[in-house]
Amino acid sequence: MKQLAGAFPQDQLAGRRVQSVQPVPALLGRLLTDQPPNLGPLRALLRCSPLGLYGLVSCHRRLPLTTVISRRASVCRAVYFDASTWPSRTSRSSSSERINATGRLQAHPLQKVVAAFRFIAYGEAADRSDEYVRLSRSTVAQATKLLLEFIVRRWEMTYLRRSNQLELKKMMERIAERGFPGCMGSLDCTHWEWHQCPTCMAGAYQSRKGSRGVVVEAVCDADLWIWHLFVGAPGRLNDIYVLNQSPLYLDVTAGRWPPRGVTLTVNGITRTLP
Amino acid sequence: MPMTDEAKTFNRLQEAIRKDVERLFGVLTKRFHIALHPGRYCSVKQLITTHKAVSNLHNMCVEARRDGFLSRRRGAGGTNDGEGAGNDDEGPAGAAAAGTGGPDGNDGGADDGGAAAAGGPVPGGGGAAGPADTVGAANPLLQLNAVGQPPAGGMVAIFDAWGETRNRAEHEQLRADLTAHVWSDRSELLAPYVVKSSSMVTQRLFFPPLARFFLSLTS
Repeated sequence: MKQLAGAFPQDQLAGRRVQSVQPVPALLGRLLTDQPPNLGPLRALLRCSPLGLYGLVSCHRRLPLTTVISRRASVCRAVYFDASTWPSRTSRSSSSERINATGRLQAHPLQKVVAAFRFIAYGEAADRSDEYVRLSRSTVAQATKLLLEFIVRRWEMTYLRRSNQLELKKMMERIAERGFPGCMGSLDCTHWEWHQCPTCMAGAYQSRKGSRGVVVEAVCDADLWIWHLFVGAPGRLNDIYVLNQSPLYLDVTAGRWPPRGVTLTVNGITRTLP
Repeated sequence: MPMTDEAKTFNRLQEAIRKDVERLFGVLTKRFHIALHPGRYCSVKQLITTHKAVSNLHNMCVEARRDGFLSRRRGAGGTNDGEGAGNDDEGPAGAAAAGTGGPDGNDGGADDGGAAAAGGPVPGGGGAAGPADTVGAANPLLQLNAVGQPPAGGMVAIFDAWGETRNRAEHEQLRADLTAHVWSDRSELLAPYVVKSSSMVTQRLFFPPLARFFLSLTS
């Protein structure tokens, strides 16, 4: 990992051809033979030109591909995405292309995944990926939407769940070392601007600064691990109103969470969390 | 407004801990620019989905990398050591499971959790074991304390919990205790956040005004 991290250039925007890309056949050989996930070729795939991408995709139609999405060689290296699980609405295997009504092969899932991840990571316009993966605006928008829904459906229960007793204990220990026993994390709200807010909802969603948006409430620990997220409160609300309607607060005040029996000792007095 | 030295110390430390979540929003938006730019979807539901997905991806990144974080390495001698080692084991094995690509990935992840027999509850059914899935039998899913409808302890239980969490006197007491706690350990707790003493501060502390005056004359 570390070796790879140093080896890649800072910027891999589509317009800038990276000079030291390996030739595509060599990448294919490594991709075919290596058993453990060899991240190099796939990351190079994202670095190389659209032509290279096409070569790789066309040769590997039938393989279950594991793509590694990497932004500026540093961000999502951790995210492995198996394109064979790409949500597809056809009856055929989801790792292959769909066939439309006229019998033409549609875009490969890998193309769509790359475009969707570029959409997520760069926040670029949906028709911007056309230069890179040659997909139309509507295809990219649809693919992004599907991918987002897919991520939430499949990983929400793994990565965005409430902490259980063990994790809670560890988190509280770490914060207690820093001087706050009994503290589970830091909570804050921020506004996420909403460009397409309908006019009829502008009154509720207009924040105090005049822009329309929703409030995002998150709780995280020192590693920036998010263990509570509450999105979608109208931007008009201030932090305390958002907190009052967040599921976390409702659970705490109704006695559903945190788990019973968590104790903390402050200044010689031992308390139990409510 | 913190007036006493104790309260000021407490406030300073609380600022330092509260900073985490401020960092979170910065890091999240830098990682995924879709959360930085104004949302371009037409429904709140889609906005929620988007932000949840982004946070999911962010958590995956954190999970894969947190062994290298400075705060973890700094505290590696303490209680975090075992935890860090556990995550370290899980990372590559999870990666290998993802590399096999097939349905075998699930089994690999479960075995790695050190729970070969039980094979803990995996959320989301069959293929749901993520590349770095911490959920195993050793670390079970949380069961929320069930509050049925109508609640088992009656509404009294809920009102009790409500009163307990909203108890103002208890809140004041806890804050006073925390303040005292922080104050007693202040040199140790605040050490990471104190700027190294500059020459000016040193002079103020160690030289009386008259001596400083003479020093300024000589220099």
